Formats: sequence, structure tokens, C-alpha cells
Amino acid sequence: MAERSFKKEVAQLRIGEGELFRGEGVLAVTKALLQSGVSYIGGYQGAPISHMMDVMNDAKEVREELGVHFENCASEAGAAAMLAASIHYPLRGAVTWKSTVGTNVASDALANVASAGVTGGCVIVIGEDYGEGSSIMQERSHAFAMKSQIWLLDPRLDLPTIVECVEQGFALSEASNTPVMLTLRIRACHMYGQFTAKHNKKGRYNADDRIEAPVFDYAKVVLPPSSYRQEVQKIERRWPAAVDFIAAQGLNEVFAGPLGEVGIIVQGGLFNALNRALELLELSDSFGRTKLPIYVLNVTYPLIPSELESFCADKKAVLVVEEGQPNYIEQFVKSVLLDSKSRTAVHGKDILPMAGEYKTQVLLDGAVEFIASTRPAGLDLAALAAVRDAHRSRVKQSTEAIGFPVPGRPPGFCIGCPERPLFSALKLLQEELGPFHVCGDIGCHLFGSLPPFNIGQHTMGYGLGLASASGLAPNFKGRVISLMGDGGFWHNGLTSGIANAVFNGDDGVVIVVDNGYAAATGHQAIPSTGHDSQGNPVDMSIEKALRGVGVQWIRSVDSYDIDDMIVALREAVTSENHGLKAIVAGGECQLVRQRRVRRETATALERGERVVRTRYGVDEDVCTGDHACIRLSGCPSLTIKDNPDPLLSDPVATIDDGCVGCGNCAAVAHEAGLCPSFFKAEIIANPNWFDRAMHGMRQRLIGMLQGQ
Amino acid sequence: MADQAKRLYSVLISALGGEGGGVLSKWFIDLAESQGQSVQYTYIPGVAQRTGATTYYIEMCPRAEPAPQGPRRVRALMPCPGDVDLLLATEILEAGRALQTGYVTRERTEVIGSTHRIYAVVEKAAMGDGRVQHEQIVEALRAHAKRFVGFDMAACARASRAGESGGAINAVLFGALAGSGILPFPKDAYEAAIRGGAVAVDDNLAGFELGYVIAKGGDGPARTSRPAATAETKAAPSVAVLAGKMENAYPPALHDILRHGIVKLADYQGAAYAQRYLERLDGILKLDSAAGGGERGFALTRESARWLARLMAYDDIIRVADLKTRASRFERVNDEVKAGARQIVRVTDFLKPSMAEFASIVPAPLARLLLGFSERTGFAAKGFPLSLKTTSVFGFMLMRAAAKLKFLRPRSDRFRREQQAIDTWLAALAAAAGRDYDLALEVAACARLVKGYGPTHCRGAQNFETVLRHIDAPDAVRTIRALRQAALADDEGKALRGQLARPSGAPGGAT
Repeated sequence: MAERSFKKEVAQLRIGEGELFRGEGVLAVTKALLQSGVSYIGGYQGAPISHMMDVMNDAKEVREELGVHFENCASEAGAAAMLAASIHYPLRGAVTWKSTVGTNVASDALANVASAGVTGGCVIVIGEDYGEGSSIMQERSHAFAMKSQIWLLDPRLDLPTIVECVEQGFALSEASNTPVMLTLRIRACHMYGQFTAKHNKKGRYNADDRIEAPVFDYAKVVLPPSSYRQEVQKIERRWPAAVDFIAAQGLNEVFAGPLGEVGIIVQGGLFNALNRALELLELSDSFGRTKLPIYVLNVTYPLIPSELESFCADKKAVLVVEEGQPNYIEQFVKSVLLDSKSRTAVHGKDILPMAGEYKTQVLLDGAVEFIASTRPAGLDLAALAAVRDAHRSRVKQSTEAIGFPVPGRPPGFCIGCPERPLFSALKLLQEELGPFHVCGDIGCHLFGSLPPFNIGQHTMGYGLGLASASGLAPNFKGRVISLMGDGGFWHNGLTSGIANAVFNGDDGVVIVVDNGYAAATGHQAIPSTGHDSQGNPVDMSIEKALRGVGVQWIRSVDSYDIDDMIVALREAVTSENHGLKAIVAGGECQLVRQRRVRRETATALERGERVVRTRYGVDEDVCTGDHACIRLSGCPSLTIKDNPDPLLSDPVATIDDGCVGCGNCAAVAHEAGLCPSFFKAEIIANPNWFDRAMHGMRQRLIGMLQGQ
Repeated sequence: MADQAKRLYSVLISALGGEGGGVLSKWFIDLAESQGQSVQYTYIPGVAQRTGATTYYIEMCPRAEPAPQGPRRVRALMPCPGDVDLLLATEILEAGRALQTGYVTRERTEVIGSTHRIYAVVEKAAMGDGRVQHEQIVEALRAHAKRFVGFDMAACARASRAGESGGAINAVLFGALAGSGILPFPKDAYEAAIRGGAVAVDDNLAGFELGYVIAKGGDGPARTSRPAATAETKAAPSVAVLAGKMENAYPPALHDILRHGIVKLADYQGAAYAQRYLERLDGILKLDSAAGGGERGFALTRESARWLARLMAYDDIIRVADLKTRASRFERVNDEVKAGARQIVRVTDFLKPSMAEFASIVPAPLARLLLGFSERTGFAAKGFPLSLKTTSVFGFMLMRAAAKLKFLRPRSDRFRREQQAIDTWLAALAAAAGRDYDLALEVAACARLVKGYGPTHCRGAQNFETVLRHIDAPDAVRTIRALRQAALADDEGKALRGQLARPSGAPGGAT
């Protein structure tokens, strides 16, 4: 089962008209989908919409009542391909993934569905992984909307507005025969709030009431001449239809303000932060009663020229607040105003930073600069500067209060993670044979590129670890090692990496990290988990897949066995065998394992059964405080404490209560010949008579010897 | 919580992955909603969920105002510097991070935080002591928060959970919030939120109560740390005599540290060895006095006493075996792994002595023989891996037998070499003391470089020698300090090589 359970929360999906919904953003969006009468939902997990997939899985009963099909797709491409259902038929559907990386993967199918056009409404919920907490390259999804003519919603962040945007998104999609993307930033996905619910709706067709006759319409097939006509249709019919719908329904909002000489145009998702910045400058309040007029773009693509013109009509300057780059919105605003011969000056990235998240502080500084340079009538600039300076000096006192930089806490492997011993083995092998080029992949194992391991020179995308070696390996003297996670393996690595290497006869080494789940995204089930997300058994395995595509050299190794792993790795990199050498590094994700083991242990202890608990320790008087063990292991539970020897000041190593007994710290210290201070302790609860007898005898003998 | 008609009340929760920041947020929301507040909350999990710092952010205001149909509040989803009313931090470094980012300001921010430490990787991985001065963070919070309620909530969590491993820091924190009276909510509403959460309710309520009482000014849990390691002093009569002699000869300020040194060396190799320690220090005290050390609290003698004890009690197989077979060690292990009264603990020790280490405990001729054999055959050259079950009779006897080889130590080749190195260091100290008191202190501190086993020890001893060779450099105090710090900067010797290559380094030259 996934890391986060929504079993309790999904009750909220059932509430009816007029009831108050309380819950997180992803749950609210799910409720909005059900209120919109969707027939199918699909997606691929990835922050920040992983929880949306978990919600869907946990909402099985509600879904089934409404006849909604849900698919745990193999990839974002697969999820986007589901939208084909809405091309010919009046089926509403929604898919979700992490963006921009997921949108990259999905874009083949997206481009096809956008060209063909849709009959039933399609909403694509994209988790925009930009700014703080992001784990990917910093790009915007906006360009995808522009290139394929897909409409992009970026709703103002309160749940009633988000829910309304989802519902209107379906209507917009149908009115313009175009799929619609709805972007949710990380914090919006996890935003807890309230809205007044409506009844759920069954889709026109659904699992209980199926389509009977197929439709054939060549105009919807993406092949000439249809494809040429579709392009024309996009511009001549669908785009104007969308613009009309957005304007008629008033999807964008204007917050009027008395300082009418200037105004701000802002993406919906940034409005809350902008309003707070203005509030701190005493230019707005917490109800959004702003002194500066604000035009809020809940739809960021397409933009509505008539709305822009009328907002800017009486203004000498506007500021476009648009996160990320390039500044597509600002460019469009400029072009519209130029066409209409408007004399309004357009500011944007000339005042605000070109790159990076627009946090409240950034917007606060930007707003002051905008106002200072445009000098709207009716505003006391000196007073504004005084407010800003007072805020600045308060903050400055605090930021300078501690005399040293507070150290950061970079991410790393969890306690007992099966990937740590794998990287320890690689590190020890490098000490023996010299450094390697290791192609990284997406997943927890990418943390191997951080200290203390520094292993993994590049990353090219999910499941592409092995494929990314195919240009390098033939030009490299030694063998190149590639990593691939089990998630990436099933996502595309099996074909793009493994089958490709076999087909091309590539000489390579791949380590498939088989921890049993899509672990980094929250432990969603994958084909090799052994069961599906509902717990039904599934008989698929990485090894069988490898054999199936013709890999000859396969070693399955327990990740925790460093010796075995080194032997397998050494053989793989030195073997005469030309061809793909695959090592499947097995070891269940410790977070999942511990959740299960803790429960099982508690039950066994309650029943009075014999339970052996293993954990490791460091003898404080043997440890010399060099911390080489910490530099080799990096386990969070291997930490330091005051030196018990009053003569010494360097802290000694210690293992805290988080230890799960994986033994990697001791194994690595042992392997490297570091020091003898580690010990393993096996604690036997509810010992049997034999344990007790042996223990009694040993204690007496040892006691006697100690007395001497 | 004044001013709510105008603005929202903002709460930032800073926690570490696995410390229950999510549960705490949930309690907070349930509490606030039960007290008529309308709440919005959000967080960033992502990869931070795994090991790093996580933050949760809440904004609230009284519900149903001004009118249900009126404009809705516009709430931020992230904290802004200078705009946070309440900070709850489960660890002091995280509270410090919030302060350094500007989230804590004197005008607005009340802070409830635990003062315990969870060390960051850079602090743990340092070769010496890389811990930040967290007392400075506490002081800064006292000075720069509107109010700071801080105490060791991890200790409270342990105390409230009767021996089980920690975790309930969030409950103690929630209790401290209730006890602080910062929010106008009654205590039973807090408790109801914990009950409603249905997570380890009894433990959490116990932790909550403790936090509540302390924030109200009550007493925390009694400290239950074990007595210091010197409890091991069986205080043999000969040691007592030595200590008495020492007290007559040395200024009182040094008695404590010298007593520790005497006890340690008597334990290591007997009273005669401790006597030798004192004799060596006698010389340093004389130099110290002559150099005017009295005005500086005899810092040179103090520091030398500390490091001399460490150098003389060098680590070898005998010492390790001795420490690992003591009754007190088994007690400590049982305590550390939290074994219950009727549970049995089996201990396995991992040793990998190399032939060089075997050779180091036997007399020189035999040592040469052993090393020669190892060199020819490769036997145990890189260490002989042993996993010994020290709680089994056989494992214990083997280990105990090694400990009993103590009598061999003074005859060993290693012993002779160690004493030589010590004498070189003492000579350097003497030379330095004659020139510059500060230089002598720097030389003394260089002993810190020598520690560990096997390769770690070799590296340290080499660095020690290298650094001491620069005692005649023109700006010797700064040179020695820079070299020592460089030697402790990384374990590949990069920084030290870099430092040695600098033109400002010693003209005596690097090797």
C-alpha cells in the first residue's frame, strides 16, 4: 500500500450538494472531477500530484458507484493516450502527472489529441514542480500549451476557485473541442481548505452504461489531409471558441482599486502571494481589497485580448507578474497593446527576476520598484518606502542575529535504505579498481550523487540510465556502469535501455535497483511489486523481463550483502563477456518494510512470542571521534554525541534509536578496516528455555572471568 | 492573536522528517477549527520527507466573518519574512534556520521550540568537532523573538514514554503551546485534538502534559544520565597516593584534569605508567610557570595534560579487548539498546586487525618476523576480519585473553615508537614555550591529530609529524594552526597538501 493513506479522507468525496468539504487540494480536485461527471481517470505518480494517485486508489468504492474507471498508467505517455477516449465520444476524462518532466513524456500523445480535437471534455491536472521543494530542472509547462494549442488554467489559490476552474475546464474543453491543462503548484496540491460541495455526477457513458456503437470519422485521424485541416481548425475555430467562452464565463477576474493609473496582471496561482506582498506594503488587505487594480489570469493560455485592452485602457503602466521563463505572457501583452496602439507601458521581467520562484518577498520588492518607477497619482511614495524600509530593517535584524550560517540538511538515503550498501559497494570497488563513470537515473538512488558517495555523473531522465550510456560507453576505455530504478525500468527503461542494448549488441553494465515500489514518489505499486495498488497479486518480475528480452548475463544480489555485491560488480566490469551485464540489486524499501515489521513485531510481542530485534551500536570508549564511518555511511541514525572522556573534546559516534539493524555501518567500517568500535546487538524478547539456560550459563562463566 | 479583524494569524511549523510535523499540524488544525477558527494549511513534502527539513504553514482567522457571502480571505501559501506570528520548531537548528530566514521578528513572532540537537551531516562528518554553537542560536532567539519558550523536548518525550524510543516531541511541543497561553484556547481543547487524532493517544497525552507543565514554569524530567566514565576508578591505593602527590605539586585549577589523566593511565598500564605521565607533566609545569603561565591559568599544562594522556593511552588490540570485555560495557550496551529486564542481549563485535597491529603488541624481533611473513604471503596485510560473539563463552575468552596481554605492551616495538613520538612532541613544546606561549599552545593542540586505528591512525601520525616540522616557520603560530586545521579538513590530505604548497607556508618545506 502507498505511504500515505487517504482511506479516511475519501469519505469527503461522497458528500452532496451544500455540504462543506474539508481537505487537501488534490482531494478537492478529485471531488471536482466527480462533480463534473468524468468517465475515466488516469495518471502517473510524481511529486506534487503523487497523492492524487493515492486518493484515486483509495477512492475505489466511490469511483465504482459512479462507474468511473481509474488506471495506474505505465507512464505519462500512457496516461495522455487515455484521452483518446474523448476524441470521438462524449466521455469526460481526466489525467494527471508531474510537470514538466511528465509532460515531456506525455507530449507525443498530447500533440495527437490536441490535433484531433476532443468531443468529451478533457482536463489534464499537472503538478507544476517549480521552486522550493522541487526535484527537477526548472522549466514551465506553458510552452506545451502554446505549441500544441492546449488551454492552460492556473487558478487563484483557494479551494472554491480551484474547484470551479476544474468544472469550467470541462465546459471550456467541450466548447472549444480542445484538451485543457490545469496547473497546480506544490503548495496548492497540499493546501488544506474548504468549499461548498455539489452532488457527484455520473458520466454520460460509464462502466455501467457503455457506448454501444463505434464512431468512425477520418477527420479526427492525424494523417493528411486531416492533419492539415486540424491545424487550420485550431486557429480558425477552436481558439476563438475558447476566447469567447473564457470571456463570456468570466474565468479571469479583475480586482478593482483606486490607484487606477497603474495595474498588475498576474497568473492566478501567484495572486495570493502578490496580495500578501501588497498587504505588507499597506496597499491591500487580507480580503484582497487592493489599492492597485489587479487582473487575475485564472486562464494563462489563451489570453483574452479584449480583456487585456480594457484593463490597460486607462493605465499608464502595468506590471506582468509571471513566474519562470521565458516571459510568454508579458510578450503577448506587449504584442496585444502594440496592435491596439495602446500607450500603456508594460513591465515584467525588467523589474522582477527572470528566473526562480516568486516568493512573497520577491513580489514585495518588485511591487515597490514598479510603483517607484511609475509614480501613480494618489500614492505617497515616501510613505511607501518607509513601510518597506521598516519591514526590511525588522527582517535584517533577525537574519543577522546568529553569527554563523545555519548548516543545511540535504536529502539522503533513509535509515536502513537498501541503496546505501549498494553505493558503499560501488565506492569500495572504486577504491580497488579506480573511478568509474556511472550513469545515474531518476529515483532515490540519485542521492548517490551527493556526499558521502558522489557516485552518478549525470541524469538524463526517468528510466534512461542505460540508454544514456550508449553514446559514451563505446568511447570509454573502461566499462561504463548504468543505474536504473525499478520504477524507471517499467516506465521505459526495459525498452529504451535493456532491449535497445541487447538489440544493438552493446557492451554495458546495468544495475537495476529493485526496492519493490515507486519509492521516491510515495510507494506506489509497480509491476514487480508483486501486487497491484489494491493488493491483488501480480506475477511479473524484473528478472523474467530481462530474460524475456534476451539478456544472458544476469546476477540477482541482495543489496545488503556488500561482499556479494562487490564480487558481482567486479565480475561485471572485468568480465570477458561482451554484451549487457545486468545486476538486479534486491532489497525492499526500508520505509515500507519497517511499517510492516513494526506492526508484526508488536502483534508477536503481545502474543508473547519469541522476537529477536537487531540493532547496532558504537562503543563510546573505543571510538576515537574521527567520524570516518559517518563519511562512508551517511546513515541518519549514525550520529555523534559528547565524548564521555573528560580529557577529550571531539564528539564520538553513536547510533540512535532509529537504527533498524541493517548493519551497513558496521559492514562498511569492517570492510574498510576503519575501527573496531561497532557492535551488533541481538535483543531476544520472550526468550525460550534454551535461550535462558544458555544465557544463565554464559553469564556465570563470564562473570567469573570478569572478576579476575 | 490581536488584530485578526485586519489580518490573518500565521503559523510556521519547522520540523525534520519523521518528527511528526504532519501530525502536529493536524492537531493544530483540529484544535483551531474546534475553537471557531477558519484554517488554511499547506506543506512541502517532496524529497524533504525522507531526511531533510520540512515546513508546514497555517493561516487562520475567526470563522464566518464578516459575512458568509462577503469577500473571502486571501491566504498566502508560504511564510514571508517578517510576517509570521507563531513558530513551532521541533529542533533548535530548525528554529535557527527560521530566524536566519527572517521568519522570526521581535515585533510579531512568538516561538516555541525544542532546544535539543539533531546534527546535520556536515556537523557529523567533520574529522574533529564540527558541531555548531547551538547556545548561540538559543540566545539569538531569546533576543529576537517576541517571546521564546524553549526547552529540551526530546528529553521530555523520552521521559514521558517510559523507556520506549523517542518520537513524541510533537506532543510535548503541543503541550508547551497550550501551557504558554499564546493562543486563547482552553487546555481540554488541545487534549481533545490529540484524542481525535487517534495516534498513540496515551503516550502523546503524557508528553503533552509534561510540555504543558514546563511551559507553565514547572520542573522538567530529572536528568538520568549515567555517571561519568571515571566511575570505573577502582581507586587503587597507588593511584590515590599519586593523586595526593599531584595535588601537592600542582595549582588547584589543574587538579581535576590531572586526576582524570592519572586514573586513565593507571587503568591503561598501571600506576607506574601514570607516574611517568606526572613526571612528564612536571617538566611542562616548570616551563609553563617560567613563561608566565600563572596569569593564563596554566593553560599550557592543562592542554598538555589532556593530550599527553591521550597519546600515552594509545589505542591497540589489547586496549580494545580490555574495554570490550568489562562488565560496565555490557551494562552500557543493554542500556543503549533498551533491552527490557527479561530480555537477553547477544553482542557481536567486528574486528579487523592487520598484521601490523598484531606485530605492534609483541617485542620487536617477533614483530619483524610477523611483518616479514605477512609481506611475503599477504596474510592479514589488509586486516584479518573477525566477528566475535563477545557474549558467548568462547568469544569472551578469546577477547579476554587478548586483554590479558597488557604485560607485553611495554616491551613492544609500537610502545617504543609511541614514546619516541611523545618525546619529540614534548621537546617541541619545550622549545616553543621558550619562544612564545601561544606557539606552545598550538603545538600542544597538534596532538589532536593522532587518533584512531589502522589507516586512520597512520594518517594522523604522519600529519602530526609533518605539522610539527614547521615549528621554526617565520609566523609559526599561524602556520601551525593553519596546518593543523588543514589536516583536519579532509581525510585524503587535500587541504593539508594545499596548505603546505602555499608560499606563506614554512620555508622548511613540505615533504
